[in-house]
Amino acid sequence: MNLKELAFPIRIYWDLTSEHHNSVMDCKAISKEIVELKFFTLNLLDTGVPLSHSCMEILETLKSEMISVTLTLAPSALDSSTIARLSELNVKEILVNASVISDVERTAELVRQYKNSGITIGVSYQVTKDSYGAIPEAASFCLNNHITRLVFPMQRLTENEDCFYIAREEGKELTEQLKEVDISTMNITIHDPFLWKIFYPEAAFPGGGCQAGNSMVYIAPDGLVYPCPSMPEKLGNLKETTLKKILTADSKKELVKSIRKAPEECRECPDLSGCMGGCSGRALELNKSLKHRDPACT
Amino acid sequence: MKIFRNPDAMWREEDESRDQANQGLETGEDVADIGTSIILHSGKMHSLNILGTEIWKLLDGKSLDEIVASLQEGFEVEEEVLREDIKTFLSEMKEEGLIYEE
Repeated sequence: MNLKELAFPIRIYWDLTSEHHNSVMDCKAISKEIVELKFFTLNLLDTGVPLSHSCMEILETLKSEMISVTLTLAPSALDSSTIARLSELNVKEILVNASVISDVERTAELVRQYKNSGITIGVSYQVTKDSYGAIPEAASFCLNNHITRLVFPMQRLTENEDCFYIAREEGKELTEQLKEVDISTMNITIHDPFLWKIFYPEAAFPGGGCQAGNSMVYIAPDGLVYPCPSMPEKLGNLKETTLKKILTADSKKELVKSIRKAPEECRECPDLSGCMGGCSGRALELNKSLKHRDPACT
Repeated sequence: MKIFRNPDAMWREEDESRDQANQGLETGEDVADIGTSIILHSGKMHSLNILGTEIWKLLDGKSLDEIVASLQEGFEVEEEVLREDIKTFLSEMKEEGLIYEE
């Protein structure tokens, strides 16, 4: 059945990393709009300690709504009172922000400590040029320490994060190392089709091609809305207009159409059905055009 | 046997697509390929056409007979054909863990 283009996305990513920016946005009104537009999931990121007032306001607004909320936070933000409060606020899943193995080790302690909290606690492992080599170690550590949820978040290319990808040869080495880890019992989320291939070399990437602006949308800490955290192409500003107006704008529809077309240089490629053109955001960031392939396809 | 939607499956009807499918039905077009709702379950997205969506909406404890009777009013199709279509649909839904029976 053809439902390739959704009227409104179903997944929203919202980063709250600066209280200053948060305070100039009407987070409560935006949360209500998220409910009205019938999003399925909200992935909230707040790395402040303690969690920001805006974060708690959003969770409070959504606590009785039909939306699945995942909160990514800093390891030091999680204590018994916070977890009790998050449980009351109907947070389905907590992901601990990890960029080094010691963060994963800290998460294992938290999982042990709060195993009866009723909330799934997992790891959000940022893949960077400094951390990618430890991916098998991180996965193995999770497996051996009862952490069954492991997420590899999208790069925040809209926030000037360094655009990074794993070269093919390095990926092959990681695949070999991952063969020693039985990841079949883990719930792993991978957004990058080439990272997916490192974990599951024989399985097709399940995402159905780049979903930027189609099934997902991203709100940056300053209120700017993007199709995806990795797609540095602004759709609008929530300090000036509503989410609905941004998502129904013709310019957004045109952008999504061009994102969903396979890059010209991929159209004859026999692997196109596997990677579906790769990450459009990374391609745009590094090539300054959507017409060229994702450089991770090397 | 009563049939229920899996409460963990999140779903949404797509208004524009539904209107497009309804318009097509009125003019006798084939609307089987128009997705009118989406379901998200276990990280997997499913798309249903208008018949699938109408069946899905009825899965709140109704039996197969009740679903057939309810849909026969809206879809001009022989009862046996409709029943077989619904059975096939339910079997696929069950395989994906999207429904359960009691």
